[in-house]
Amino acid sequence: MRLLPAEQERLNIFLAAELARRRRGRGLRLSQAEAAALIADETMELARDGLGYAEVERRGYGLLGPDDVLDGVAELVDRIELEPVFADGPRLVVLVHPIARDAPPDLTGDPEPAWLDADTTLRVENAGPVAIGVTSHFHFFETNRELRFDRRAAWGMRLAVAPGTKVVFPPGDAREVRLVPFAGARVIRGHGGLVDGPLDAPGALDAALELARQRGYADAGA
Amino acid sequence: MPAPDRIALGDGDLWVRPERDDAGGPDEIVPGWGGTHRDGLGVRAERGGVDMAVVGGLVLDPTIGVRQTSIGIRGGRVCAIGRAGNPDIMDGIDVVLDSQTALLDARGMVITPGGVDCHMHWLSPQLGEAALAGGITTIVAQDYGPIWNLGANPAAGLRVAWAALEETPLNVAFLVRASTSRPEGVEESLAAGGAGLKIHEDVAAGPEQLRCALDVADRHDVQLAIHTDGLNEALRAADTARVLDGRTAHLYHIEGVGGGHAPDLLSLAGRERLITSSTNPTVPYGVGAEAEHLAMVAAVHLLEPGARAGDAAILRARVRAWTMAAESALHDLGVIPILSSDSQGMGRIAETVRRAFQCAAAMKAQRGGGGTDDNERVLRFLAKVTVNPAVAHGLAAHVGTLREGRLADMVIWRPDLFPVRPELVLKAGMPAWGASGAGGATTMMTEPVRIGPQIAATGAGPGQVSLAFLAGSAMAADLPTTRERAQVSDCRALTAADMVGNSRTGTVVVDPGSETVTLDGEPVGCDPVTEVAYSRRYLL
Repeated sequence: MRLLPAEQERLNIFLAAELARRRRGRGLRLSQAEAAALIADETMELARDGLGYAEVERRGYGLLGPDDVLDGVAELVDRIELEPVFADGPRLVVLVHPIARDAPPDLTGDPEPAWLDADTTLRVENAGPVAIGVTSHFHFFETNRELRFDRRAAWGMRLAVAPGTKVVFPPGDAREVRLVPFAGARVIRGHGGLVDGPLDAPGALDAALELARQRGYADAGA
Repeated sequence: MPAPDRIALGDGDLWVRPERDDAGGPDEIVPGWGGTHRDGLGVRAERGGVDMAVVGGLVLDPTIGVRQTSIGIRGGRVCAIGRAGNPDIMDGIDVVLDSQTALLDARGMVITPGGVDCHMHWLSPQLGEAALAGGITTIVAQDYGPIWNLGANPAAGLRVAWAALEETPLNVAFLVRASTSRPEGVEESLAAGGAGLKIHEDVAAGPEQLRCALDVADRHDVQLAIHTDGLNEALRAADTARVLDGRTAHLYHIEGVGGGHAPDLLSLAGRERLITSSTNPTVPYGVGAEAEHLAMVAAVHLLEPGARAGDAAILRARVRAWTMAAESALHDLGVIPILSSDSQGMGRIAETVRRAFQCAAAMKAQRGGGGTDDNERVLRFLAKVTVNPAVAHGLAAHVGTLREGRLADMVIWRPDLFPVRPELVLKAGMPAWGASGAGGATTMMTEPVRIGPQIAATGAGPGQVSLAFLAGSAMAADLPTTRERAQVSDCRALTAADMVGNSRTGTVVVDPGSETVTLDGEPVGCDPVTEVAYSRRYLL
């Protein structure tokens, strides 16, 4: 056979799944490891049978339901990552809560950012041709030069959103954002390259504004 | 991710409540695309940060409490605990991240100190992986293979044992056999690479051996672990206490089925200067415990009950359901401060941590208390498998807690899989064991995901992340080890008060006539557990 490591790993899944199938056949409800193995094995076999990606993913959610597993196990099996071998080669399939859910989760929703308390509100327009995403702790003053807003008002400020949240500005759109001041020693290193030093040093703002002007940063306050 | 009000630990109805949150909030460190773990943002551009930071986990530590926090690591040791981030733009930073800091995202996870198993017979190399996959990072070991030794002796064997451990990312302290009335050989073995002493009845646990070993222990500031005389051939329980004469010693498997004075070894629990431990197959006391131990004692100790005179009698005297029932309750009461395995010599090294919490869950169900806040009970049982065995064997300056200065040995658990499947075991701040999937896949967690070696467990990694615990007389021994050496210390003046969360003393009376155990006159016991937590819901 000249088995490759991936093929031996596939056998581990099969063996665990076979144990689970036999136990299920005796009327037993499955444990976390048994349930995960069975779902993994049978989902991979759907690809072997020739089904395409979307169908394999969809059917992965129907293999076991909460009644097939011990109490609490549906919640424990929260995520299974698999690489079934499709006709176009191995493809990663991720099943999220495949016992508790009947179908893949909807990943298309894009909720509005949850704004934290903030005193500063700014109108920001994306004057460029591509979407621009800004994160919570980026010095808003020196965000992409194609964002048009009052740069002076954003000095020493960042978006009033939770870490990990992105505010995305589609091309041509304008929206309001809320900003909060940086804390700590208030020293900016890196970011957009307009500051590289203490925010509160005398003349720092004017020097940065001048640099922004030279580099062509859009500025609604200029 | 703000700290939740309380978190369930697996399926055991044990709940922990964060006492403090210094990880969540508006300056939380979020790794990944578009998070805050970036140069100049959550990460300081200039150096001055820690080598490695474990951010945002819920730390459970008997000496720190229950805190959602971050841990800074430098030189393999914990150097700071608190809020992580960039002081250039954030207030109140305790753990400074810089652009060279390695980051481990522990948000949503539970972190415990690496487990310490202070009763291990290292009978086969498979024990190392079983220990690590059970959340153990430090072992106090005897033996090196299937050889009748009951210690790791003498110098020639110790040498090979240390060389063999180069492949195993565990901190190790070896006990040497001290079942002798002559000190010279014991001191010779100790100086050859030992860190403590062991007396075992199979090779003699009489008065002369005990006194001789205590003298050696005192001279070298090491601990003496004793498996007492189960035959009562030369001493019974009260006699052993008299011979020990108020000198500190560690009494192994204090319930007695693991070995020792029958039927009343347990009467030595609760004493000021006797540190006591249990071995794990009787904890929590379960419906199958008695039957299992009849089989186990005979198998391990080479008995032939029914065929050889006396074997059935000593076996029956040793296996007592009623003292097993008292043992679990005495754990809950904090009278027995340590739980260990007695691996392959009547215990399961893979289950030391798991059984501590199975017992905590069973005692909550039977004895009550806690409700929606089990911090005290959880930390008490955690102490039995972390800080207390470390203190008992003189290792506590280095391991057993996550306080500053200690080796950054920790176990990162998914709360819903706690304490069954550790997600990641860090040794000296490096990934040594944990969950990972198919090597050729596009993601790290593609099935089959298994709990196995991580990078620090491969190549010459283990020696870089593991300590060799040694007696002072062995610190300069010529040993084939690349490990950092750490001297065991502060073993001889220990009392019950040094046992974190488990320092209760009292008079334990074991009455074989009525088959009852009392603590300060009150009966102690529990019903046999019919179904344990942290088991069937998870395992294959």
